[in-house]
Amino acid sequence: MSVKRIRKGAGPERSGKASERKRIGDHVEGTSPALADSLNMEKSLLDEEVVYYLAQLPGWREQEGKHVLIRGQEQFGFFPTRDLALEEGFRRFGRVAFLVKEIRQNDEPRTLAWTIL
Amino acid sequence: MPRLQSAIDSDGAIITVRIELGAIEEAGLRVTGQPIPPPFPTTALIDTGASHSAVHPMILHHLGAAQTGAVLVRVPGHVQTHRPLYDVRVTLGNHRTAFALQVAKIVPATHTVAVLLGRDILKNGTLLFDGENKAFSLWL
Repeated sequence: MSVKRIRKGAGPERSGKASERKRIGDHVEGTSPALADSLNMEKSLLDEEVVYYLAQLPGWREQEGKHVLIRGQEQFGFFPTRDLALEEGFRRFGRVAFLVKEIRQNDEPRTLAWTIL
Repeated sequence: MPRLQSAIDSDGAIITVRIELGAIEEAGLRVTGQPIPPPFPTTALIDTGASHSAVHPMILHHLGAAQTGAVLVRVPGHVQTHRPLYDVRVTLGNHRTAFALQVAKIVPATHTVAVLLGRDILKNGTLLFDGENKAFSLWL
């Protein structure tokens, strides 16, 4: 099996701030610019759905723990599992972006710093 | 419990993986007679500090994976933001079982790897990091 391993220095971060990073021993300089580049590179296709989800969230207290299917400014049902919501999403919309999100009134943000470094 | 073993190189604990579409998305392709994108073999860095696994955008583009989720993330020095998530399956080494994961679409800062394996997959097994002998073992 051939394995595709990206060459050092290759890839979309090669230009701009990311290219200014230098390895010093085991440390990497310029982590913050690299992080910013990564985060800005791919804008979410689901901004509209996320805004709708956040607006509706207070009214969905009784659906806590279920998975809601959203496309655009509309929800298409609440499902007991993520897989059921995905099946319905692909059935309705095909292979396009749609949002399946577990309803949590207190959604704790994940820290990404360690993912990037 | 199958054991995966590899050397720790200058980038850390690196392992070969295969990335495939999520099972539900792939099933939809089968039903409609559309071609199934082949698994994408690449290298991954084991990252115990990451809650989510992450995949390079190039691989998700290759698979044509649809964005199906979003996760609220906090980055020191930045505002909280929702980042896209994708449903994929990840197979480690020659392991037979693929793990269904929701992965973030991120360019890892380590340019030699295209995938970061986070605790969402590591929670399924045991990782032994043998720094003295520059080797690690992963039981899954």
